[in-house]
Amino acid sequence: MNYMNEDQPQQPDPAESEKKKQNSIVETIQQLGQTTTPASESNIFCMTIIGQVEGHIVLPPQNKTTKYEHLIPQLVAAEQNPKIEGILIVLNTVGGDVEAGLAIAEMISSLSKPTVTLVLGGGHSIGVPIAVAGNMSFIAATATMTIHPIRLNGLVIGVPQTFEYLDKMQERILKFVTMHSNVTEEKFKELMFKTGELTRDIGTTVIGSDAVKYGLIDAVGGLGDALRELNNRIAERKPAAAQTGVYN
Amino acid sequence: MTLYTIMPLENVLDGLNGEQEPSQEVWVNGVFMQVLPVAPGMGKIVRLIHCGLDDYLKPELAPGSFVMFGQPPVS
Repeated sequence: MNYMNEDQPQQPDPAESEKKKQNSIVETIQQLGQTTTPASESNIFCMTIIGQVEGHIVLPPQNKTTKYEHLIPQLVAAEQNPKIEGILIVLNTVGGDVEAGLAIAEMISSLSKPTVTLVLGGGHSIGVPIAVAGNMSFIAATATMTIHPIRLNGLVIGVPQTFEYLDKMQERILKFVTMHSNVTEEKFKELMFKTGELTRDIGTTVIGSDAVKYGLIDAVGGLGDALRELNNRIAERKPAAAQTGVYN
Repeated sequence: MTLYTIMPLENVLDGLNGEQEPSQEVWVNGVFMQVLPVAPGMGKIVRLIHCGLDDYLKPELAPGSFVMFGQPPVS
């Protein structure tokens, strides 16, 4: 009757497998200088937009960049993944590529899941349409947003750009911002073309409560406020989803 | 490309025409990606080229993370 035991696959010794696991963690630390922390399941996906929003041209390495080719499928995955119920977008950006920034802003605004944006530090230039793209937007009391016209820089990379073209690009940003926030077109243009405020440029820097006063951002708040709002919106959405039977 | 940023363009674009670091395209655990080699068998992720949708949500596959590629040494 011994043959039956021989046929059975060898059971791994639990102590042995635990030791192997430990060894692999040690190896990872030795080789990579880091180890992945145990992933805790969260129903919120946090997306950070930092530094320059990088577009079609890879920026030189002194720039800290947010790569839109990674962010866009990430938003698709977040929308599609049933475990994710809400998206928090944290911004601390100095601006970047117009096309990439507007693409991210359009993606955020067309998500069906609740989205809350939070501006920490700065949400400048192309960061402005991204900051207003969510269902609700927050700005930290000390955070700033710079609103200024698009400057001519096409010559640097040899692309001829006309004033009219830049005006059209500006119009796209203006339209998006006024559609997704409470700021009026007149007010936004006034902020954009104000002189005497910025040293190197025309435009305005709005700080925390000023952004709310102008209707650009919905409320002044921090991480706690943003997460509370997102969780409320997730909770509100659940009964509606249960009625229609559509969870996504 | 039109940059709309508060950073002075000379700082942003400084070194744009300089030599780009040579990158390599590799398969790691079923994900095809572009990496910048930093040591033999080790690279920094530049971008994911071919992967599943949920792979984009993994923090270890975000651009800038380090990955090991190639065959592990036979002991």
